Amino acid sequence: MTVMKPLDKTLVRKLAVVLVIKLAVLMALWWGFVREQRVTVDTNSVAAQFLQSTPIPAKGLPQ
Amino acid sequence: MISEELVNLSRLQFAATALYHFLFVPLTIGMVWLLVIMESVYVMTGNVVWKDMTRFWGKLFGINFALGVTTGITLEFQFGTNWAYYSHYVGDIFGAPLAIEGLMAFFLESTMIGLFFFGWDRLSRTQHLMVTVLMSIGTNLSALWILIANGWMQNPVGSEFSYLTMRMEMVDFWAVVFNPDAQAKFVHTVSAGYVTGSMFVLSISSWYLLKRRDVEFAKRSFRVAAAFGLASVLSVIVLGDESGYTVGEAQQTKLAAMEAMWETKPAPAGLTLVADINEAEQKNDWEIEIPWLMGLIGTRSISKEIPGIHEIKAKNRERILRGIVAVNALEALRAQRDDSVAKKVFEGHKADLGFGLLLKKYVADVNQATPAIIERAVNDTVPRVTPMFWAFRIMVGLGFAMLLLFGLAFWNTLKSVNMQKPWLLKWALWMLPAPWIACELGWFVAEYGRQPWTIYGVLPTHMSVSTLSVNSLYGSLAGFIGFYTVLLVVEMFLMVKFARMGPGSLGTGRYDLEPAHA
Repeated sequence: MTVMKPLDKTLVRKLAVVLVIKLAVLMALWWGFVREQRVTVDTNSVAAQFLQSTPIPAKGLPQ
Repeated sequence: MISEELVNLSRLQFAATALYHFLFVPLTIGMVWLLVIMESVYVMTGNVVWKDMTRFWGKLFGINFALGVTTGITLEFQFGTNWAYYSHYVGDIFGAPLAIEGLMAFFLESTMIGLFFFGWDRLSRTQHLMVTVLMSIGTNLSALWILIANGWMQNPVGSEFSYLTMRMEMVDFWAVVFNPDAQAKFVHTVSAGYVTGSMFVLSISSWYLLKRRDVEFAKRSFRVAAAFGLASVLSVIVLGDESGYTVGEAQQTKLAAMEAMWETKPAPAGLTLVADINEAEQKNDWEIEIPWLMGLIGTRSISKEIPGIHEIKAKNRERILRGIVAVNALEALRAQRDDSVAKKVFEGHKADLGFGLLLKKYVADVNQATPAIIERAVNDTVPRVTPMFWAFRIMVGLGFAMLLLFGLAFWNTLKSVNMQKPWLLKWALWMLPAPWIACELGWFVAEYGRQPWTIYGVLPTHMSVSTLSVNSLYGSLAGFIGFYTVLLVVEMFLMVKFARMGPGSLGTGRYDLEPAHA
């Protein structure tokens, strides 16, 4: 079996920490800025957005 | 109407994350093939220095991959969060290559990367080389599918609009796959990645040679990088020319803006080398031109004209007027789906539907568009010329500077005199950022040059965004930029640390600066 060199162990540890932090930060960004922002898009809402028969909503925030 | 601030913030967020993402990507794409070359020589010769080269440069590749992975995922999420209307409108087509990329390429690449790092003593030499080759194929396939998706945004072939579902639907998968824009983009982009990987190895090897350390290791690395870099940069230039031709075929506005070509010139048009662009008066105050060259690049002929911006705008004005008819016919069809008259009118005008939708930036009802509003929409159809013109020229200039460097590096390494040319080694070291700058400028030209469309000629950018709150976008934009900047700083720190250590970081006892505890 291969014995990992101490330098490699340090690097692997650092990269693992970076990966965990990355996931945590991405999740935090999603939680803070995206989770509440729901924009429902279907055929009718696209028709309303693209055509003039229906008023165009200014914001698609959840009601 | 959609707020312009919302559109601009959504664009800025996507552009910022894409540009950060592409700081990591080209190095990954380029380094893998260098690793294949180095390991192949090791398998063929059994000389352990080539194994050490593969492991050392592989370590730097691994740092880049670990830091870069997931930076692209946020882009895919943004299609859903920030570009919901875009995703509905073109998701049927755009989603397919992205899904294939994840299933076919990214999983292959990720699995093989694990085996590459942890398989050295578990696999035979040949098996490990096969792993490295598969890792490279996975990386390049990943680029292929992403660029097929992006190529479709530039030239939306193999699809048509359905008024029943209010979305674009794929009618010919293979037309999407073999889209000339996508194929030209793929080969041009991966070649740019190969240049980036080569420059990375060349620059760091040059630094070792300047410091007179790990000389045999560095000389071999320098030679591989110089040879692969020269072949790659030649490919970038030749394939960039092909890319220019496909742009001329499918995106006349982009080509005209890149060339600051206000008027249609007699064929074959000259290539404007430099110009003093006067956007206000829509002309160049002065310019230096190379005769014939633009006509040959853009049309592959000496008799075809390349339309200038004024001519393109005149045609687009007509298309906007036809687009208003298309919007009205679509509305009638939505109200009564068996209205045969409306259907006939729509079929006759649907190619210009997107142009009618350009007016929605200014008026809710396109029938209320005044001549002044139509003129604003016409002006929108061509991106700003000055940034396009100069970004393209800086990119090309850097490409030729790298060609000269790789050419000289290759010549001197063949004659084994590169050690006696400190100016060459210093030049190679200082050119390290050049391929990244060129890549970023290339993406700027491709994406900014597509404006005002997300799907060229089909879907305007301002109709593509989600109706989010502006505040949430400010928050997530700041979060993304802060987060990606930290990732970049960590990447630079680790890269500099291990590059300074050199192959001594492998702890084999064969190199300078071996760590005491290794």
